[in-house]
Amino acid sequence: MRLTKEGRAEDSSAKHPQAKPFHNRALPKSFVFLLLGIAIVSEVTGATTLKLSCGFSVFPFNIITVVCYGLSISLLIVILKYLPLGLTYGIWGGLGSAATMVVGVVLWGDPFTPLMAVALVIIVAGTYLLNAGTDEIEAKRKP
Amino acid sequence: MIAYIMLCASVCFEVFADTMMKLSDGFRHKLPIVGVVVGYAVSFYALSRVLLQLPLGPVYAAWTGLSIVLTAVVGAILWNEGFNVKKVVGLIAIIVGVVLLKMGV
Repeated sequence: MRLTKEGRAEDSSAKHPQAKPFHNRALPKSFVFLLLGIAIVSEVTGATTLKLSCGFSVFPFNIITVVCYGLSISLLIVILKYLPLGLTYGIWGGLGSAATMVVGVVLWGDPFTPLMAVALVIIVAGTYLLNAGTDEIEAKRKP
Repeated sequence: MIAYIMLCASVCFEVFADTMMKLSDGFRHKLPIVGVVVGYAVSFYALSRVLLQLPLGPVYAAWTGLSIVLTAVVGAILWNEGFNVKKVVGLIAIIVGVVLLKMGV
């Protein structure tokens, strides 16, 4: 019985080496970040239809809200198998808030102040730094 | 005062739900999924009670900011994700940006 990097037993794939179970498959990093992007878009869509549902009472927006948030959280559960928790939640929370604000400004003409533009730039720069810092930590650990 | 305690409880349940997400290992373990659903449900219920007494902008800013900090700390403690200067500065920048946005300035 072999152990994966995380210390999990790979018993099922040892019996059938040619047919790896889905949950043991490695995904390329770019694909995982694409999933994170979809999770954020889904979260923003959920927030937008939440507003359109007028207190959760207008069909079909109330249903779309539930589906979008469900999809977003399900995707996060899959993504967290491959990415660190701090990185994933930081990016999801930060970029999700920023994108939701942009949707508010574009669709409903919410007020947009210079300070909010600064806040957007700070969030995007923070996301980049968080990602770069996490990469450095992981690069140091590899022999 | 009770509103601030509820806000802290809401953040804790949110971080609990995020931790359960990581623990479920991509839907491999089923029990943590129950934790995710219960965690988010309790968190949003507590947040809705807080919002009866305190204004939305600052509450949501504090809630998001504290969740991001605590989730990063939980990741560092439980999964040894570590910290370095870039990561800490990045996290602080995201929190400052989110707080600026949601305070509604």
